[in-house]
Amino acid sequence: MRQRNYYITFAFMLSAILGWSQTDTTKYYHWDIGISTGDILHELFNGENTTKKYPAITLEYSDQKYSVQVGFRPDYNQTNTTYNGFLDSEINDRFSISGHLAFTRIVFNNKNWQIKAGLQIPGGWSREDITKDSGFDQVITRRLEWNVGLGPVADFRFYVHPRISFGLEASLIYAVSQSELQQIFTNFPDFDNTKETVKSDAVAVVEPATIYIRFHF
Amino acid sequence: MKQLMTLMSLCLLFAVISCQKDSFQTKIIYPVLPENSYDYSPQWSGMHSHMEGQELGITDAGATLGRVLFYDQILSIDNTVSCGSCHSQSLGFSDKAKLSDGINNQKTDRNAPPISNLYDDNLLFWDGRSTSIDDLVLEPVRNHKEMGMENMDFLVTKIKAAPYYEDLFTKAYGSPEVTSDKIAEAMAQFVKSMIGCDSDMDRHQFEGQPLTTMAQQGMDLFFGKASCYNCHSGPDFNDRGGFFFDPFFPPNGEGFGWAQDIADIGLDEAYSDVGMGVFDEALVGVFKIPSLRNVALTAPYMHDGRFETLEDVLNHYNSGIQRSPNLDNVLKRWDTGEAITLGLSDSEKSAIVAFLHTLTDENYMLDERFSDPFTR
Repeated sequence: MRQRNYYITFAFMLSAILGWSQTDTTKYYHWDIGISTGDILHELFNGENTTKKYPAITLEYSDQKYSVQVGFRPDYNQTNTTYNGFLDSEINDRFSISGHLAFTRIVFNNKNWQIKAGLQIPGGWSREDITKDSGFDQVITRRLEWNVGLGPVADFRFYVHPRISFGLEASLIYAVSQSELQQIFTNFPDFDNTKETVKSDAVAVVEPATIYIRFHF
Repeated sequence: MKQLMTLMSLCLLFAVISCQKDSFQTKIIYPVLPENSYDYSPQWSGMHSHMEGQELGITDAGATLGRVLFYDQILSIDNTVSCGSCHSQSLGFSDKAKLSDGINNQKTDRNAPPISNLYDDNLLFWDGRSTSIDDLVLEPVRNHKEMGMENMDFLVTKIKAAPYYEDLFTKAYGSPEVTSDKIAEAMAQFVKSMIGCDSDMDRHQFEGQPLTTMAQQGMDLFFGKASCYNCHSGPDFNDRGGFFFDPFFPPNGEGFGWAQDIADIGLDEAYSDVGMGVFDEALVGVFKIPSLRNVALTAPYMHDGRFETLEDVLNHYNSGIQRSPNLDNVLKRWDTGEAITLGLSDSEKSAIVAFLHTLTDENYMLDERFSDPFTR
């Protein structure tokens, strides 16, 4: 009985999609908001992994040819380890935020498919603190990183409904980044210091790793 | 659009709330010390009896201060590692790990060597880079992997901030003033005071106490067929044996000269860790000859901790010596220059291991004067 219900639901969805794709009158929605589903699935099904994944959120405005998109992803993870005898505790705390701005042009478009290509400017900032509390002092070893880049992006979308699409993105980004290692002493602030600063640049291929589901309005 | 802004604001609020931290409260752990300080004057006995009456410039208050510093984790940059973390008393002041844990989950470059009877040693660390204990004691404190306290001013500031040091410095130096030189001197006094010469072998040599049959057989092999004494002689079994000056067959290197207490024992044909090779290419693969006191407790063995057991070490000397470029002459055949094999049977190897167990000084491992005063 249950299986039969699944078949009926599936058949209904299929007929709705096919039925829509055969209609001629399509309303064009200028705005869309998207969310990366891969990170949500990771959270749902990868329960053993203590590292939480947060989804990226995008907002886009399009006209008939051009689009401008902004996106961001916050990320926060904390682990707290308490020791017997060695240290009172060690807290690992990571906060990061990344975002992008993209300007694209529609290069292919039909009822179900849309391909966009253009330029993406991603950037990010992160702070990772390892806080060791020995009782005598609280020492924070902090890694600060930021990066900014520029490069071509391709965006592939499949519309399952005039208001809903699934999309994949791939890009080739030239990015510059800086990483700093700092030591911060709660009881001895005069001795706070920056251990090392590393600057680097690289070209990175950002493969389509997650599916974005978008709602058009 | 309004709904969208609300959603984004909620996400940002969530991120900010998640970043809040716990507040920190200082809690000092005090060392537990005896009412009257221990007697740190050297207790010469056994194979160190020839030192009877010798003083080493150790004061009880100085060594007591050194003991607290030796075990105090605040000497490391993040207060997680002390000298005693890698030099455990129950293991003859060595570490059971191949490479010890330093700060920030880093591993040390070499196996932690045991500490005992270093008072007259002028070749310290595996590569002999220190020639005095005063120089030795602060090296691990400064090392970026071991304790990470590269700034001596910071070390002094931290020591001043720990309330229990004022009294200890006053007793040791007549003034509460803290300097890095005083820290080094007190720690050196403590390390020099770490003398243990009350093993079965000491009693055998100087009181005539017999060894077990197997250990006696091992001793005969040690000083006979196996020729271990070539590099492991003297009261701590880390001196060259035989002639110290041999114009025809110097133990290390070409030409003739004084035999040093260092050797390339053919662990590898080519070394990734060149040891004393950082000072001289002719010394690539050459390391300090370690003391064999308490050797049964100080596994794993060699500079990189590659051998888990004494049997593994004997197997190396028996048939595993590699023909390395600077292989010690005592480990080469005189005619072909190839690495020697000892041809020891399993029972002979077991006998040598039994003999090596007689070098353990149980009292040294239990001596309260050298124990950790911090109860964590």
